[in-house]
Amino acid sequence: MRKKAPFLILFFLPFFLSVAAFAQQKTIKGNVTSKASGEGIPAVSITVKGSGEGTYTDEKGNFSLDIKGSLPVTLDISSIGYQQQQVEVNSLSATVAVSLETASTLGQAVVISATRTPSRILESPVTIERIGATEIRNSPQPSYYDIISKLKGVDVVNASLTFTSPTTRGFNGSGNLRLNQIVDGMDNQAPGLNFSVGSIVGLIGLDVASVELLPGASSALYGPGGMNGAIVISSKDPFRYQGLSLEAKTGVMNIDNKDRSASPYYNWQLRWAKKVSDKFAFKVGGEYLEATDWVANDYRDYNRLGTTGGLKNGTRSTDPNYDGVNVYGDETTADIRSNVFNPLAQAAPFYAPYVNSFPASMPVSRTGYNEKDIVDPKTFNLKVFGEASYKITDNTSLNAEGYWGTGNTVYTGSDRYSLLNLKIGQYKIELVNNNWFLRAYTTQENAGNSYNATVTTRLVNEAWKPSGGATGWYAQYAMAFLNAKLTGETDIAAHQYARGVADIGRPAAGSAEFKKLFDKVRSIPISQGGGLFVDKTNLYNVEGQYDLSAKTSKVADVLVGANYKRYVLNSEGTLFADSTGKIPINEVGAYVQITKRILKDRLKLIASGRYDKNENFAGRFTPRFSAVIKVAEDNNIRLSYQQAYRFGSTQQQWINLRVGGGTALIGGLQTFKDHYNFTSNPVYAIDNNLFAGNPQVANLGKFKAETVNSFEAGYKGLLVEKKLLVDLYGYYGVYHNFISRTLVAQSVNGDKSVFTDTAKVRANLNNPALVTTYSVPTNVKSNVNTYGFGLGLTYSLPHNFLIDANVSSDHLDKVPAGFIAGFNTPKLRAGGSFGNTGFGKQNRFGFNIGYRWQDKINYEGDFANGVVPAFQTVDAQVSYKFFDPKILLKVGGTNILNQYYINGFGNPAMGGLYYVSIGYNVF
Amino acid sequence: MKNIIINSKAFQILIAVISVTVFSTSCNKPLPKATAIDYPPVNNNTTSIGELISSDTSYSFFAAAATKTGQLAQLNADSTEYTVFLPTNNAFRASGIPSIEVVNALPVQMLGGIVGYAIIPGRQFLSTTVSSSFPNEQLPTTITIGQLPGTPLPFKLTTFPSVSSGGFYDNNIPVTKPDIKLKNGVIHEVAAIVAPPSQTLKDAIYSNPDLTYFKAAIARADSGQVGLNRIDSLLGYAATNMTVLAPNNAAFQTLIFGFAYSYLLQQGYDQASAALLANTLASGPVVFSNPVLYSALPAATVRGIIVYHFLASPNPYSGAYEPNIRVFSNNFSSAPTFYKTLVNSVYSTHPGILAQATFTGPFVSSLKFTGLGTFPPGGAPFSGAPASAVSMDKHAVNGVFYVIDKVLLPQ
Repeated sequence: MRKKAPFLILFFLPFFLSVAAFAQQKTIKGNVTSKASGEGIPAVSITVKGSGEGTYTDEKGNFSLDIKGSLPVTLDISSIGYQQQQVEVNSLSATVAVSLETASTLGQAVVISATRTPSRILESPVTIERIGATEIRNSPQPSYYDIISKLKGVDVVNASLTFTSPTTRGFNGSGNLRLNQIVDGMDNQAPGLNFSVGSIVGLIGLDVASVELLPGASSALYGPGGMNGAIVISSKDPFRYQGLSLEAKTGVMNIDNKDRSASPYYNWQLRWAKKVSDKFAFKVGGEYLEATDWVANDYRDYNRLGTTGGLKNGTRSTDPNYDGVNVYGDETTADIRSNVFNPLAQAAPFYAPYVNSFPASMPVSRTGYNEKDIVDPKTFNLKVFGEASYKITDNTSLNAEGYWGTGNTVYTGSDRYSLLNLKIGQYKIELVNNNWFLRAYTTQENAGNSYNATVTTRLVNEAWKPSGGATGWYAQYAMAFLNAKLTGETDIAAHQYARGVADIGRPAAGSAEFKKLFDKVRSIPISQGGGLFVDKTNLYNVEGQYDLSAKTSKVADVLVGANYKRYVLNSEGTLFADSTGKIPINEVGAYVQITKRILKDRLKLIASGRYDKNENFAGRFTPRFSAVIKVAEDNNIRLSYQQAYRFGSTQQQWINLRVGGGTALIGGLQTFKDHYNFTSNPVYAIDNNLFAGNPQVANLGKFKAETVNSFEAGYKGLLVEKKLLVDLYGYYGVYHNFISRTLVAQSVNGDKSVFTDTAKVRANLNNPALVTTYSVPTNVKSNVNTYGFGLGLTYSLPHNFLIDANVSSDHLDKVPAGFIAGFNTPKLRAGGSFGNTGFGKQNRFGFNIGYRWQDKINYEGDFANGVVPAFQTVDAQVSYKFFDPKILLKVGGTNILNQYYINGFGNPAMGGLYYVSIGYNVF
Repeated sequence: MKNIIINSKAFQILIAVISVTVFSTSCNKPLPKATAIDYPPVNNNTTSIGELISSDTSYSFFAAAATKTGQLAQLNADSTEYTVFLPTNNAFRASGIPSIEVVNALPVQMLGGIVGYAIIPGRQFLSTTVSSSFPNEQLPTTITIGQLPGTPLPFKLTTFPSVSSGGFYDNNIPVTKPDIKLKNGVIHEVAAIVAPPSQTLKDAIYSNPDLTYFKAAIARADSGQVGLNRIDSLLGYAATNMTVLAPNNAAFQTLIFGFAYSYLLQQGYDQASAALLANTLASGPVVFSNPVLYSALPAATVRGIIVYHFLASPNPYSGAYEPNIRVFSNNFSSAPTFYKTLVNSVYSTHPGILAQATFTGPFVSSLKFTGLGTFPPGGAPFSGAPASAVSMDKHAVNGVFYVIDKVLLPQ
């Protein structure tokens, strides 16, 4: 280990903090201030040179350090963003006053996630991005989580204001499954709903010490799932970051929104940390956010086929089978020709020839309701957290930590889901030593009053007036249609008239009657014919890690770890096939990492490997090999080969849900294929063969884990007198057994002829009385390849000004025919920012302006497919510290040009959000 | 230093790329609105049916009639679609209405019938889309004659366009100029007014003085039957769709005479007294209602003969033979062709009746029907010439009937 490096010492300091009871206590008191502003600097590391003793300054910049040795001692005073200083202390009587000069932080950050041990970001063996507390404080983004979206190579999909799903290197989607998110060592994925809840439950901005993003395959260290990367978020140590911090943000959004009036945005955060003694510290805090959400208002007509499809021309008045993207209830469709007119022709033969002159198929959809009429516009998010940390010995501390969050948000899965009063708690207890840790945590999920907006609205229609039956909506519609035809109306005029007749008395959106009906349906569990999904799925995880380097360092540094994970699916039959009882899923994994420095530290070689076994999947070993070549001081080239893999998510294993379009989403396990008799009553692929009347039995195969092999090369270095930070990477990824969903169709009555009549096959597919369509997780047989690159340049200008620019690109290569990739990633994106974290008198001014542009995406999702147009955003903030320099006034906004855009098809259009925030002690 | 230059250049390029991007996409495109589907007119024509009828002087009689009845405006509307079997002024003349003054003098109700029956609402049927297969298609006109029980649907007077080797017809009226495509549908000029029926078959047949035997025979055939099994009910039920070959009184007299004469000879009567008695028996339709003769003339026998005079076709769903076709004279083939009858509802393999039409131009000049049976069975006297239609295309609301000059026997 390179013990001379101050950043390493910085990191290890907590481990060395100890008080020897037997020694005579001497206390050094002091104060650290910024030379530029004169204000006290909190969380500055104070260590005694040569002894390992140390402490941090409190929120006012004061410190108090007990030492065992005798005077004089030399103190190392260091903090990110300031030049390190050494001070000799000769006497205990005088307060040590230190004034630090600001320094460039370019390339100085230390990251942990790349190797699970601290290392300089410049020497990371894989591409990594880091957001520190300073970046969070100076960012225009209202939430630290949104800053991730501005990093190079990152794409996000916003399903609502607070539902942000980031990923890298492709395959994005609302709640994407290929990116691990680890918060203080806990997997942040909702175990039942599968999406990572980082933006809803987890850390609050004031408590975030750092966010590290590893683009690309990362499961060698973080376990199955990290196909496309990992986000590792760490909170602030209560020993180091102390005192009361507050931030209140008030904003306005939905300006010039055609479906909403301008609305306020509130976000309040509080964090209080207290070091009670050198042995014990705690922190508590919380955040409350409230706003009127963005609204998904794509009213274009959608040609739905199971869980796929595409846009088509049509409006409610010009397409009888209109199915608006963000209009729900209109997924219910029936062919009035076969369901009403043909029986009518039979009963009343004198109308038979006339009816026979109608089109062979006359699909008609029920009248839907717009999303804005059915989803509660109020979004709120309440997070609370607490941590207690106790140092058992000098090197070992016991930490207990809990996060609990609740809120309303909207999620796009196979349908739009209103997550209402969703509650997720994460609770952890861990023993942390310099060399090892042992950690146990659980994630407790409760979907609250969440409902499937699509299914619920369809059922509201049924509750008001059933579709079927002699007096049902379709019978009324068809009779009125025929009546209109018999007065000479054209088909479309007759359709319009018929809809008017069938919809007489339909509860108007927003009416008390509608609300009553809707609230009733959404509170009935899906398993009992309503829209409520009950989900109380939990996750339990135990893991440990040991750094054997102390014993093995002569040969190499060695790190080992293992974990056990247990999911307990519990949806009471509303989401999973668990109507008869909870379903447990067990997973175990272990990893080892060996690091070797050779050629006088010019070459660092790291080999890692991980083995995982899930009870429903075969065990897998995933290796990673990486090398860091130091070409010059602060200039490194990195090379890596990584494998990552992922078991199917809990939903991909066990889901059993009828979604809005009527398709049955089922798990990929064999038990589903048996339950639905796929062997005796074959399922047919929904493809061109089927539409040509030549159905082919779908070959689903055994459901396997997917893997990716990723090759990456990169360079990171400081140039131009260390003023220019260059980060460049290129990668190539090869996915095997890529997990995708495939649509298959099965005759309800085991009658293949429903698929062989080409004139009727499309209508039959949408007729649940004849055909069941299943969306089944399967592995794509051929490889799916991706490649891309990214370049980031950051230039440090005088007086703390910083300018950066980045461009990145991702491509999907060699897509098998007919394969729905869901790559959902622009070929090109670019951005830049210009800012200053402190300038002017006493460095009280700060600002940041950022720009980002991304290319269009041919977006493919289970909810809907379509083009997400290219868009740009400009975000900016200016800040000023005043009175007590600890008070930070910030005026900022995101998308300040207020140009509405979507970043996922079917998701809400987002405009500008403008805010003013006042913070106290925001460090 | 080299590095610096390279990187500065790269930096400049990047800035340039971003700048270009900013300028080229200066604004996020708003989410496109849903695109309405554009429904073009029924045909690529700017003139509506109503407009043409109003402006073309060869249609002035019809225009006058439709104006008087208030039925012209509907033919102008853009959101409509019609098929009109339009009688030209000449067609009016051919139907005995010589001038516009006469048109204007006719009762509104009658004109409304003529106009309304000429129009099929909501659809365009072209000479190429009308079925050329037998049986012809039954299509609703704009004339409402009732309500379908238990439904909100109207019951419409129906019409029967057909295409055969003889040409294109509506009912039995030839189309003289087909397929005049207009903005909201199509006009077919017809040779004469396609007259709307005004009675049921029952009213029409029962009021015909030449069909009193037929009426009496039906009553006898219905003995013991209930509901729509009663032929009488079928004839009076507006929703049926029948073709009836109604033997006239002379035909029945001949049959009864022959039947009685041979029966009496078998009973030992001499020829003169048998002829006298047979003549007396055949002299009035009361023969069917005379209880004394019930055993000699069982209801089943009469029914067997009567149902042989109702054309039938299989129900497309159940396959059972039903009186569900309306065959106009022009729908009969010019080659001798068998047509199934209601006898097939009991004996599904029965070959039916052999019919043959003789065309003169588009019109049928002669229509002959041959029954399968001879009388007496295996005997000679009455198996001679086929029955001829003495009166054709007698159109009623629920069917068409032909008066024929011989009773047809099924076996």
